[in-house]
Amino acid sequence: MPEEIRRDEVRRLVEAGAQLVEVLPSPEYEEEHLPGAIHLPLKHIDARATEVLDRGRPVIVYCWDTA
Amino acid sequence: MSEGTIQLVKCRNCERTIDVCEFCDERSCEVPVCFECLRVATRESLHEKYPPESD
Amino acid sequence: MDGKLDWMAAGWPTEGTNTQHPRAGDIAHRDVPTCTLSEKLGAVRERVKAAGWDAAVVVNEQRVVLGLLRSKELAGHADLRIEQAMRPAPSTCRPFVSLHEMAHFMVEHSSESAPITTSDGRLVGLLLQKDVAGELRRER
Repeated sequence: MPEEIRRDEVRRLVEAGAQLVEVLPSPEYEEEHLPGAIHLPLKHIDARATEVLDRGRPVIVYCWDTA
Repeated sequence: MSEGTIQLVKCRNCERTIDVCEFCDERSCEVPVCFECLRVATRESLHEKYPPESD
Repeated sequence: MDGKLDWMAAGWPTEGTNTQHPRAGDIAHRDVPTCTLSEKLGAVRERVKAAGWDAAVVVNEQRVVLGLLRSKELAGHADLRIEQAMRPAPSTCRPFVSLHEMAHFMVEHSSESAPITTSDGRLVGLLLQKDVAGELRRER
């Protein structure tokens, strides 16, 4: 079950090895993304998630804001 | 105009009625902008680019 | 999480093409004089002048911005409390806003300065229009 976390926790988890995933479309990802974030646009997340993500590590998914 | 009446202005972008320019906080601003349009212009909001999907 | 916006609004580092262009948080003056609500205007005015500034930001203990003192406000009566003298609840911009966008707004609205804060409202620094213009000239 996904859990909602704040930015301080994001930073702590990434330092501990979690994978960061941005789901915004390409222009938004190319312009700016969190350091080390993998790009998985929402439209392609089902098809590509298993290819690019490591099942053994936590995954943090983010968008633009909470809307 | 009676004392205490607030003169409202319109956002120059969306024409929403506001009582003060959200950037400079001046009622007399000649190019007043509302809170939402300012957020879009400064990338605090992407609603203009990706509006919420309506059913 | 709250989203990329929240991370950027904290002024934390990011990657991507936007990072190649200067942003508000990069050149905002972190050493802008600050003061608290309960201080007297006269004392703050002297301190601001001695520091070579003509503006100050009113903050609380957590450095959350409560008000602004520009030339007009600083010229008030010396015995006024800052709470009475200041321009309360000023509009603020986030550190990630591009200098091009800031220049556009500051010139259009004749704003000599703009407080830059995180999404928590904490002061990052005061952005000066003259510095924005200078930085953009250097970029060309």
